[in-house]
This record gives sequence, structure tokens and C-alpha cells, in this order.
Amino acid sequence: MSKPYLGFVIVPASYLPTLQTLAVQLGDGGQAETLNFTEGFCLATAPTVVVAYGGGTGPLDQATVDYLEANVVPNLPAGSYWMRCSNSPYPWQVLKTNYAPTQSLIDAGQTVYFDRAAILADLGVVISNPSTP
Amino acid sequence: MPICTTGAGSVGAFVPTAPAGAAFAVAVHPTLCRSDAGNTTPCNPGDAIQWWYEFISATWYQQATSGSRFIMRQDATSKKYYAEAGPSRTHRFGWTPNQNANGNTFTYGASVTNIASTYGAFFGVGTSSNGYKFGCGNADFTANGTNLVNLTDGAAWYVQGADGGGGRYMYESSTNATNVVMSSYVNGTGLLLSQSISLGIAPTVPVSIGYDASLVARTLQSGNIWGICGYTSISSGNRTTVDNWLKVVAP
Repeated sequence: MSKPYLGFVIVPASYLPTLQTLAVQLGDGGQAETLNFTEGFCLATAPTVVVAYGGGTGPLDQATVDYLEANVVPNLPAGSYWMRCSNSPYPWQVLKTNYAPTQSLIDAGQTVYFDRAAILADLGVVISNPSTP
Repeated sequence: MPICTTGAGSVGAFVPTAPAGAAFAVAVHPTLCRSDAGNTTPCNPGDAIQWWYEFISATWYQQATSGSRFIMRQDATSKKYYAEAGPSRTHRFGWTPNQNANGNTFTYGASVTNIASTYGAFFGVGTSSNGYKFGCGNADFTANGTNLVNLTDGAAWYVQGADGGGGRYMYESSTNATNVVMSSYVNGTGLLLSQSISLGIAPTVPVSIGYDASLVARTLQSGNIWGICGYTSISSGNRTTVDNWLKVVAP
């Protein structure tokens, strides 16, 4: 497979424009790429206030991953989370992340699968839902 | 019926026949899905599906947003192809023109403009060890998913299931949904379910099918599509036809 990875990211809301710019630069959909990573997240304690945005990438090849992890991921602002998973039938295996608890499990030899609900719960965030009272 | 009449890269001899009476039909197969912006490269397992071929109108439809594309997979046992809508809500599928402003950016031709009028849609979803959750709505699918739960002018449904003894069930979230039916058959490692829905919504109202992120926090699941077809009217006869079609649509 030429594109063996999938990426996921959560960034502070203020960083969304930068992320969208990167998506346009690196993606193949032109301005349509601004629609990536627009999923809103709220603190569980304030479920109507979007504090972060995130989403998934399409399949990524090794060169793109190398570029992202050398040039983009290190420059994400504080409070950002990045995860690289296997592009295999779901559930995807988490291969690398800057979320320390998960990376520790990976470093210890454990196989970790994508479980965004658990990750978000660990982070104390929920999916934005404007209808939430 | 001509198949893959535009672009290059057609492979194999797979020529699906649309279910009788259907107004819209897509299937997951390298012949019918392409991965590159130029619409020339057939998808292989692991590729994001950028172009879908709707073989009734002989039209290719593009999902321009890279993170919104389904990923082609192939069942290891049955060898059937399917489209995976993983736990990123940006993976979703819709088929009306002028999708909502939040990301359903399939660019569709006028030939399917009216398909949402008195509309029936069927598609197959495969189970996995982690089950799946899938949604279909006619409104703002991206911003919050609320319309999938509380539609006022359409219908929403969700499917959730688990293989390997976990059972399966389907629940309907909207009282506006009508004629929701389900059938299943054993296929390889899991069940293949045919879901149908009828929508009494106005023509040109966007209809989307895909992963519903609003439910992620409740149950994180994935959804798989084996094929989709739509009718301008719906009946149990349609369902039987589609059930049989789904079993053979991807060899």
C-alpha cells in the first residue's frame, strides 16, 4: 500500500486557520481542504463553547508523514494532539502520537487501537453540539 | 448500460447492473471508484475514494475534501470490496447537488437533483468486531449532527451492531422516518445488512449518509458501505431487489 497511514489532529480553536492553510497546501482538494479538521470540541465542563477543532486526514504516504512529523507536528501549539494510525480496516492501530499516555503504552510494546471516545474522555472534551442546553 | 464511460483506468470485466427501478446506484469496486484528482486511477484497497461512478446516469461524482473520503477495503474472506467510513466524521457520503456548507462537497450533476423527492435509499453496511454506527440525514450533517436526531423535515436513522455474538440492532431516531427495514445475510466474516430509508423531503435538499460524529462520544464506531441505490419511491419489493443486488454487487 502506497499510503499506509491515517492522521488525526486536535488543535486549539485559534489555530484552525493555520491548519486549514496547511491542509490546502498539502492536500489534493484545493480550497475544499479547508473543510478538513472543522469538527468542534468543547470542554466537558462547558459543552457549548468550542475550544478546539480536529478531524482526520486521508491516507498518507511515508514521505508526507515524514514531512508532517518533521515540520508540522513539532510546531503545533500547546494543547494540540496528533496521532498517526495504520491505514488498515477499522479499528486502526495507533502507531505514534504526541499524547504521552498513549505513546507510553506504545513504547511499552502494547498494541493500541483508535478509540477516540476514550481519548476525548481522557482529555476532558466532548464533541460540539450546539443543541446542547 | 455503459459503464465507466469517462476517464481512463477501467479494470476487469466487472459490470454491475443497477437494481430494477433504481434512480441512483453506486458500488464499491476498483472499476467504479477512483483515487486521484484527475479521475484516472482505479482505487485499490487502502485508497481513499475520491470519485464514485453512479452507473445509472453514467456520472462520476467527486469528493474533493481529502479527509472526507471513504477508504476502499476488501473483505479478507469474501473478497468483497466495501467503503469504510471511519471514526472521523468527515467520512461521509451524499448525493444531491449543493451539499451543505460544512463539508459534503460531492459535486453532483443535475441528473440526480430530484432524487430526494419521496426518496428511498438502500445501502449495505458490514459489521465488524467493534460494530458500527451510521447516520443518514438531510440537513446540516457536519455542524452538530443534531438534525440527525431531531429532524423536522426528513428522517434519520442509526445502525449499531456487533459481530461475534454481540448481537446487532438498529434503532430509528426520528419519528419522521418511515419504512425503515433491515435484512441480513451471512457474508464471510460478518453480516451484511441492507438498510433502507424513505424521506419525504423536498427535492434538492441535501441528503448525506455517513459517519455521525455527534454520536462519537456515546459510541465510537465505524461504518462500511457495500453499495448504495436510491429510488424515487420505496417498497418492500425494492428492498428485496436491493438485498439480492448487494449480495452480488461486488464480486
